[in-house]
Amino acid sequence: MNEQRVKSSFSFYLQILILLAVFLSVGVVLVQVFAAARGMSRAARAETDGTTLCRSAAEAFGASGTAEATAALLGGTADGETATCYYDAAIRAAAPDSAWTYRVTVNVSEEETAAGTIAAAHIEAYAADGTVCASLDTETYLPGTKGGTAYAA
Amino acid sequence: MRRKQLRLGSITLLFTVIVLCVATLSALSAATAHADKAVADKYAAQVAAMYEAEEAGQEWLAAVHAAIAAKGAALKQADLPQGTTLSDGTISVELALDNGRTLSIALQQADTAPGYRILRWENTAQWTENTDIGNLWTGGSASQGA
Amino acid sequence: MKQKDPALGALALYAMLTAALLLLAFLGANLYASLTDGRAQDETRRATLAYIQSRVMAADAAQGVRVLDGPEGDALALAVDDSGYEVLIYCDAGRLWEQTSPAGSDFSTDAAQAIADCDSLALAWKTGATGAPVLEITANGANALVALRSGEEQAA
Repeated sequence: MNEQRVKSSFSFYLQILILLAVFLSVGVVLVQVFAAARGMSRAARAETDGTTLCRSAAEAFGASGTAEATAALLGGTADGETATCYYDAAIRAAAPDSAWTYRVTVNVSEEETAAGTIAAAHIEAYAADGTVCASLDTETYLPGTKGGTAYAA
Repeated sequence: MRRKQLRLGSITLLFTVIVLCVATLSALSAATAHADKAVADKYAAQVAAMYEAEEAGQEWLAAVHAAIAAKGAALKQADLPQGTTLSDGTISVELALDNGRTLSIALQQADTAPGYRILRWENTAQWTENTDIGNLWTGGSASQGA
Repeated sequence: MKQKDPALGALALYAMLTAALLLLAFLGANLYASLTDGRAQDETRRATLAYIQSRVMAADAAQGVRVLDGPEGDALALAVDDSGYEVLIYCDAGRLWEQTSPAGSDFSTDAAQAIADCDSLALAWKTGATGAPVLEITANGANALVALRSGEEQAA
């Protein structure tokens, strides 16, 4: 009788353990799927916002031609040939010492042509953790003197 | 001797239902996130293509302005880059890139040479009309099939 | 007494696993809701800011881009070549609308196509260092810029 009871308990616990193992393993797999989905969604959001910011920076550069003028148009700062701007989660301009979400840098280089200068910009958008969300290359032609300052309105 | 039956119980049924719900949610989440990422990638590629066209246009502009600066009022079509048209003082070109973008530019020589004024700078996507109508009936008399 | 312990232990295990699975289901539902909200927000941002930027870049011609007063905020008028028609983009009743009609027409959502959800649309002109006009677009609180290449005379 006692032997039967022990065997019965053992098989009962065995059933429970197998059940637990199956459901826990399924649960672990599903948690990993959820985590991957969340990561992918965050990457999509960063890429969309980063692309929009790079595009705005490219347009500002197209109307400016220099890092300093580009920074002035975007509400950022310039250091030599690099303009840097900071944005919050709603992709509005933010202060460098605030809790910004994105940082956009515009690196400008120039190449002289026969009648002017081609200014090239390499634009990158970074998330707060330093990863690159988006990047863009563009050029603008500045007729006349180097730096494009001699323009008639 | 009777074989022992495996009793799973109603709790196991409950577990199975919950796990199925969670599995469905996870599949939907993965599909939604994947779709969002795919569209974001497509948008980034489209913007990159747009600015490749912009770069081609700016380089064309540099070449044209060099020609204007060199020739002035004596500018002829042969002085301009390939594919460029000169007509009544208006210089125009349609730059069609392999990435599916088209940049249509028109500029006019300024009165004060070697200046210029840009009349048009339209950056668009190429669109090819699909003329294939598949298996649609193209018309004809009903008696032909009788 | 000893016979009750295994049953209690098994019941406790079942209860914990049930609670864990229900918690997982609850968290999964919340995550799915946030993913769909995020996707909708991304699509709205692409469909408003990026759409207006692309439309302006495709219609960049001398005198081809104008800013008007719209039904709710500002409106954009893009000339369609020399056809006498123009495309009006404006915000009305929480949506962004696109209307193609003869130049000078009134705003009418009956003749327009809804593009995306849009609470507000503000347009402002700035000027770049080269003298090129730059349009600042503010839709749903987010900003974007688009510069016009056409227009002013460039002198060397």
